[in-house]
Amino acid sequence: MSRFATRRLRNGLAGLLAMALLWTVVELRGLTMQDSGRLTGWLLVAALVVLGAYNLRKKLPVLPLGDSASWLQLHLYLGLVTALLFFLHGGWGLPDGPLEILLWGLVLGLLVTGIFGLALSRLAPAALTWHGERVIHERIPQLRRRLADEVEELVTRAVEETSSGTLAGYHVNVLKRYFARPRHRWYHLVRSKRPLRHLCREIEALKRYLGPGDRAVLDEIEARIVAKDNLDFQETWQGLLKGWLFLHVPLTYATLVMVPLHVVLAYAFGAGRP
Amino acid sequence: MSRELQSFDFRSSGYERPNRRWVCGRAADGRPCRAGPDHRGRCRAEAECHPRLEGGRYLCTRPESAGGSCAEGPLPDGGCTHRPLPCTPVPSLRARRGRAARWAAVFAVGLLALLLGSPAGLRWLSPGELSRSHASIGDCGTCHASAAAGPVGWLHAALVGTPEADDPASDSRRCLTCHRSGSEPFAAHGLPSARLHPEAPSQAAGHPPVIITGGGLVQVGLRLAGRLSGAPGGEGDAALPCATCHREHRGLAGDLEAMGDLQCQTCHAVKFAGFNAGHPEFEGYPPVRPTGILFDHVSHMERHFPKSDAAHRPAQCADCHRLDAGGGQMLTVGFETGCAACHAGDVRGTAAAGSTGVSLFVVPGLDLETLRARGAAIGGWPALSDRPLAPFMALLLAGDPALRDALATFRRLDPLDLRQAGQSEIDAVVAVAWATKALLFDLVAEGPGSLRPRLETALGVPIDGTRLRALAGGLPLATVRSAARTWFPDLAQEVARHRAGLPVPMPEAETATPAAEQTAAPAPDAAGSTDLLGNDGGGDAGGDGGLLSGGAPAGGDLLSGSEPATNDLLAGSGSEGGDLSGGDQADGGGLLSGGESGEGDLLAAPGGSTEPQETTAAAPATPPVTAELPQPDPERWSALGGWYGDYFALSYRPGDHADPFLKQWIEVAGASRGAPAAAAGGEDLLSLLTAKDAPGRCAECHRLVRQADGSLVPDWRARRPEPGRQDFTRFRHQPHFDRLSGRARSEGCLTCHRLGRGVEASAAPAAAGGPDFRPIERATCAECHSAAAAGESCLLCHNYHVGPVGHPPPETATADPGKTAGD
Repeated sequence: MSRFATRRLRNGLAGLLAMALLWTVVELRGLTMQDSGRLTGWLLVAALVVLGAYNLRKKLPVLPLGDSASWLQLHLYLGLVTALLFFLHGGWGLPDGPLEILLWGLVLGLLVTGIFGLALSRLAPAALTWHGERVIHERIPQLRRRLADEVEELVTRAVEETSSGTLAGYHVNVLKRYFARPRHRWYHLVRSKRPLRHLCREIEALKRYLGPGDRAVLDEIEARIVAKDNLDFQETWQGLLKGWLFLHVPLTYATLVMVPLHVVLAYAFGAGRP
Repeated sequence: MSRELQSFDFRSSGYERPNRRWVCGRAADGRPCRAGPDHRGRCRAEAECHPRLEGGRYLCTRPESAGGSCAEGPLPDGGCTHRPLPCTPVPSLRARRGRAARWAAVFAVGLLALLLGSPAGLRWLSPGELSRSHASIGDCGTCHASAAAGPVGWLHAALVGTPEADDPASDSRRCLTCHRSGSEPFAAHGLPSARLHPEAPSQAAGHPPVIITGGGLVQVGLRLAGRLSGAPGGEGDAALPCATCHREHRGLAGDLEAMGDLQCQTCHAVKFAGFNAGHPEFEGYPPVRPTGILFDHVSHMERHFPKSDAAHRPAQCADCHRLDAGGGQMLTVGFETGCAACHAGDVRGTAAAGSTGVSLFVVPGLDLETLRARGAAIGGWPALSDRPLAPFMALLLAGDPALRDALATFRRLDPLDLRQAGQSEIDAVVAVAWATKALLFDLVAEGPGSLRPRLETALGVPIDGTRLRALAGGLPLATVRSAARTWFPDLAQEVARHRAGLPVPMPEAETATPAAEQTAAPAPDAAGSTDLLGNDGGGDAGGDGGLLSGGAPAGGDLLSGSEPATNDLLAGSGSEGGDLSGGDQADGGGLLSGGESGEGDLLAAPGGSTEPQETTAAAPATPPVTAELPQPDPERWSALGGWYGDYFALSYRPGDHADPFLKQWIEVAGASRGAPAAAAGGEDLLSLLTAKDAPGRCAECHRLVRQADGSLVPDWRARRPEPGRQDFTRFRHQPHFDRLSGRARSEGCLTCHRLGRGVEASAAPAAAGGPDFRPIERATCAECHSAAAAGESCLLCHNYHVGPVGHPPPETATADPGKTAGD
């Protein structure tokens, strides 16, 4: 068994054990009509704090707080336990009060985005590897620019050499726009190569109208079209990997603001709860 | 082409720093400057390199990753030849994410501030709508003690604590404003723990033996739950706040009574999985409850009904029992519908062998010869009375505290034989005799109202006007006056002389009892008593009776004709014939008699002497008609109920079921049992009225319930549902009737109620309200009550709250004390 599998098994079992323990305690307390609201509530608060502390840990890499990989593991499995804790605390249905609904929505959003991020972190690397060269996200605009410049230079040179306007026209009408910015994000999201195939078919069709020199240039341009397609794919999926945090992190902050009010109200108005 | 776009060689590749907050504004275009913005987001595009001075010359330091040293080289002053275009730096992805997070937090804070500050802030903060039953409550402070404290107060309560927030029952006490929940609302079942422990040992109370029956994981769960948490509740009056079971703010359709079966068993020693999996067998269900009506189903159904007329006896259970309005209990149909056909005569006394009335006022018989011989001064006294001192009379006399000793002495004596009596006993008899006369005089003079102080003193219970009216039973003045004149013709004079301290000697033997020594008072209600020929003369005629009265009690009437007129001048009935006019049933020697024989009577109507003939000579020659007023037996005459005078007593005969006179006397007599200041007498009266053959036969069917103070309260009504009370077990008949329409129709009520003495028959005989039916077995219920059929949840058959529950009436002031009428 690989190290990764061993880690997943170990952490998964620990998470399941924690879930089972929580569920059992809450159920047993329910049997004896002991309100578990405060128990699960404080556990939830503690879990949210620990989960949120991962963000702090990333901001303070100099502090000896353990390696980020361990924190990520903790974040993942504790997040799954927190999901169960959340439902044990608030019930399985939509709450009734406006504030409760808001808080419920925030926490549920946190859980959903977290699970989405977890799924992305498992799916995206494979997809990125499968598609082509993996590039650093921040470099993609430069690489795209470089490809665009190279294509322009190829076309310019070809026009100078062959005086044919076909290639130049195709560049102006199609290629310039294609290389100017990321294209076909939605197709890349579903891992479709349809736009690329369409372009390739156009190029094949265009070759019939070109001379041998231009055809060689067009082959080189086609290679850069494929590279640009890969850049778009990489940017789309890496953007997803970074973009889901635009939901997850703000939701965390909003939740952490709402939770203290909920706690205060629970204590101020919760007299009589056993 | 298959080539790697990226280069990780430091010579040809830049170093990415994604954690920087700002990036070059031209990065998105793919042409970022190498320096990038500073940490405050300012563009630093001044040069592509910072030339280095070496050997007196400036050398280009542009790194190879940015193209290497430029061909132009630095300027002479050391400046860079290539000045990149300036840009407007943009936040990095990370910075934008942080900014979004902060905005989210600010938005949340703002939203909360807006909600808290709005007039409907509390509504926004509410954890949910209230259930339908509480939906009309608009103010949080109605239920929550902390509501009025405001946000600062809530924070204080949450962080530091307040008496209200720390008291688990502070909110629950507010529930009791509208809800009743037993004598100890926050104790288990709302009952004192001492009452629960013998029946259901509680873990919380330190009763360790836990008996778990049934099967499955339920056992394990319950055992673990008990070990982990124990039973709910703590000590004191806040052990089980309402919110332990009732969860509000769950929407309009929220079920406040939602409760799992297993939760019920938390406290119970016997734990089981379900009604069909371990539920204990019933023990004496339904419980034997003493009912107001003593009815023996067994004897009626096995003995009386078979012998009774088919038209009278009930054909089925529903002839005597009806569902209550709520469909819960089976009620009895009432006396008139269910019992009168056979038992109306018992109440009216039509089938009674003895007296059917109760004597309120009695002239006790006395040994007049001895009293006269001993010089007792009691004035006139009916010589023929041999009545004992009845309980009613004894009670009325006991109302005079000064008479108690004398009364006690009198009751020990045989007043009809005082030959052996000592002087003190003679004095007691004299005192009782005068008290009797005074009582009668006061009754005539002041009416039944004069009885109130006597009754209050004797019974030791307050008697208000309503009760006194019922106790008097509509006693008519005419009857009392007629009786007074008949029994004591000189009552007024004698009482006046006695109260003035003057001696009132007894008349001589032959004149001791005046001519009016009749045995009966006038007709029951003295109707027509003021007629000239009436019985009592209405007191207006100045004499002691009607001039020509012919009724039975016409004592002293000049021409009276009833039987006992022994000494009347013209009396004519039943005498020994020595009277001037006697002749009704005598041998015809009466001078003016006009009875049946009437021979030679001076004024006799039929077959009279020549004198009448002379009189009638001028009259038409029609034969004279002999007619007399009938003389019915007063007691029988009063068969429809009411007062009648008969044989030295004023008596009352009950007219119908639920006679208010008898009811009220039984109630006050029973109440006197618990009155410490009550004089003796109430006990005898109660015995008299509740005896098996007592008039009205009240106690034959109505139970007397002993109260905590020792008093006895008659239970007049059959058991009725009490809207404000709950028992541990609940049962509604109506849904079960629906079920019985199929399989067990032929058995009907007998499906569950099997006739026969129950297990407690020996301890509680049927006559005392004991069980007439065999206990119902759990298996009978289990035929339908399973999880798959009629259900088997605990709360289907059991109530948690027992005793007085529900909603007390609102406390509504009729007037605002702070306001005056003019406001």
